[in-house]
Amino acid sequence: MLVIKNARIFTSAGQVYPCGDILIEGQKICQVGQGITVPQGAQVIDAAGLTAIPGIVDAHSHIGTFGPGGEQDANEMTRNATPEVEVLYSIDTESKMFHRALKAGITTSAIAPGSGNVIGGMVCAVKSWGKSIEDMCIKNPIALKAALGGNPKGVYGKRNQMPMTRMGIAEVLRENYIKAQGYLAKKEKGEETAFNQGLENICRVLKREIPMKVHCEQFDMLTTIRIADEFNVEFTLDHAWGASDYYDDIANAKNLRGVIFGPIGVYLTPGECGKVDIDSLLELDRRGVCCSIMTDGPVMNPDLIVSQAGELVRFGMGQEKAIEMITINGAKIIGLQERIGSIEPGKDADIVLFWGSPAVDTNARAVYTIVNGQIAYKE
Amino acid sequence: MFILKNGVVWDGLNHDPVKADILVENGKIAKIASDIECSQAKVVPVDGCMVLPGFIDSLNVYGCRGPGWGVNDIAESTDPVLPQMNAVFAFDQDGMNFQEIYRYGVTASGISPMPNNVLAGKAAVFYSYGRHPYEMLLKEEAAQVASVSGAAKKLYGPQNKMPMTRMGSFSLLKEAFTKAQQYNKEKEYEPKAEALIPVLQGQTPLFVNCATKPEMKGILHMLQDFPQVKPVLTGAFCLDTSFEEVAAGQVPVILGDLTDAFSPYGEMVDFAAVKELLAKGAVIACSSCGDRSASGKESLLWNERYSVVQAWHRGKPGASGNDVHSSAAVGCGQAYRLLGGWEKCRHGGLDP
Repeated sequence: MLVIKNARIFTSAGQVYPCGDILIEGQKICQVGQGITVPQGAQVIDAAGLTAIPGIVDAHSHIGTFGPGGEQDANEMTRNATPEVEVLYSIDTESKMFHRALKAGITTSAIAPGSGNVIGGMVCAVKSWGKSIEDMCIKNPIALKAALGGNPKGVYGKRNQMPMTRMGIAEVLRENYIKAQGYLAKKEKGEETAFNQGLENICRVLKREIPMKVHCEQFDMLTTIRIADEFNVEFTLDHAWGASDYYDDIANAKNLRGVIFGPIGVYLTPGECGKVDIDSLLELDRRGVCCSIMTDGPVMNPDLIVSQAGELVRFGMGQEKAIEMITINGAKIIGLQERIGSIEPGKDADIVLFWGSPAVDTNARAVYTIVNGQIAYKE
Repeated sequence: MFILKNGVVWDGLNHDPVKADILVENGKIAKIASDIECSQAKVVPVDGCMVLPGFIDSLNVYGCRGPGWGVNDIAESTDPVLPQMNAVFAFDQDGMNFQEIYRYGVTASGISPMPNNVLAGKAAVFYSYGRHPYEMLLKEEAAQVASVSGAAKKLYGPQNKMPMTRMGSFSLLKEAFTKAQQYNKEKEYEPKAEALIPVLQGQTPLFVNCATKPEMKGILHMLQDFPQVKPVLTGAFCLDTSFEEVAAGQVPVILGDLTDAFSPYGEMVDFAAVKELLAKGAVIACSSCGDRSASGKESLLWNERYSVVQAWHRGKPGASGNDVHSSAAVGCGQAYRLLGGWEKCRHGGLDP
């Protein structure tokens, strides 16, 4: 048993304790509140002066799939759509990036294939701490990855293959859905059909078991919304630069599970990298859209997930809400809100203790990161 | 003419902050004092704001890459030795304005040829906002850019051209300097040698992009043959206390970008060593560049306040001496322009 005493606690569950305690039993949070009696034999962390927040959820990352020597296992760029592959098998759990994530307070990452293909493969959720992928992966799959815009164009267009344009991308996406619809219909009718893992995976999206996780910016977001409506599939808008142009479209998108914004700190070029408007999350949040922030790791150093939440505070968002955007909202968007993302009894004991006030103090830093009730990192 | 009234002024010279007014006249800081009265001046109340010198991003490519994806006028990757390239001819004011770095308090940037050539060319310092490139130009030939990091060998090695190795990079560098030493303009015009003369004479500093300790030690060793050259180590991720020249303030350092986790170097920085070197008198600036070509408007502050301040001040709030150190490294002295800097603080970006 582990007790965190006298911390300022942001629960990401509608409550902030100025000075509270958290009782952890095994891998789960048991009790949260004021003046919890320390059970005999329990380990105690004196957190006076520290701030506790739920373990940070990075809802869009690629850590462990890019090696230090430029090796990559994130993009299977041999066909424009590879829905059959699973990123689970590309994750190097020994990668130093997981320790860096822990130091930054990130306890769960949604690890996705890259954006080289229009359909990139299956996405899974991984804790930052554990001995093996068996230990670390808490759900597979959580989504199917897709990518619009410059990335797939840049890969296949140069080879004189489709997609060379955004028209090509939309068509590749639609044709894959249509094929999967046909495949599903045949299977449901009991007709004989050759097994196809890729189509099986797209069928899971069609059956709304998992969302399509879509890399898109600017008007590519409209393409995403339109195609998702055509096939009645759930989706997430990942990156979402330029969201401030499309508040109505995003807020009214009935199949949208949420927006995973970022990263910011981008060299601007006109077009899809021309408008990096993280302040749009204030308005989207007001309109009821579930919003989260990503590092896109290793594109951004894991620390910068808190810096980006800090930018929201700078633009006028309350600290509590900004913290929710890197905790519970990420958990909701990746479909793991029952297990992670808040400090509540029954949830996984994933907790970060900060020196300083995260997303407000520029020099705040994680001093303890607890994963599954174990101290995984201590400064 | 205007007065910034009632701000808390940090002068960037390591003095304690004071509550004061600043009178700005013809684009220059005319006076810093309490209760300045000047009937002609427009009063800008900045109560509750910290007033800092404009931030200086010592190394970047703003205005020279883009506007389109793939457009790049700051990397002439046709020959590894091109010291005659001049960043002034690559700078587009619209490209700079498009980055909006002034929104994050950055008022000037050292615009430098990218380090994938062993000798990449002449860097220049530009203001971060303006309508005409030459009006924005603060200093031309602020530095010559050299590179002994992996960048050049990655570019030329696969083409079976020198440098394929680090020794190749050092060899090309040494050869170029030696030729410049022996250069006789009367005999024959040689643009490379011509471009290196101010470097050899110590008029223009040599910004050397390097990452590992052997690269950093190697360049200081090589430059013993060219004693007038004034090196500045850029990137310099593996800096440690064995660099006596750095500790003594003779060799300034511009730390490279720490936000990009693709780079294997960012996590190698020993901040305890950085702190110790600073205490001894080292001149060290933060930057948002390095082997990485460019990043966005947030990056300089992120580098400064988060990655460095967090690791280095360890509990003490507030600003470090970024401005002083940056400006020293690019040799711009105190040519500050308060444009956006204080506004940024009003919104709390640096408020401890």
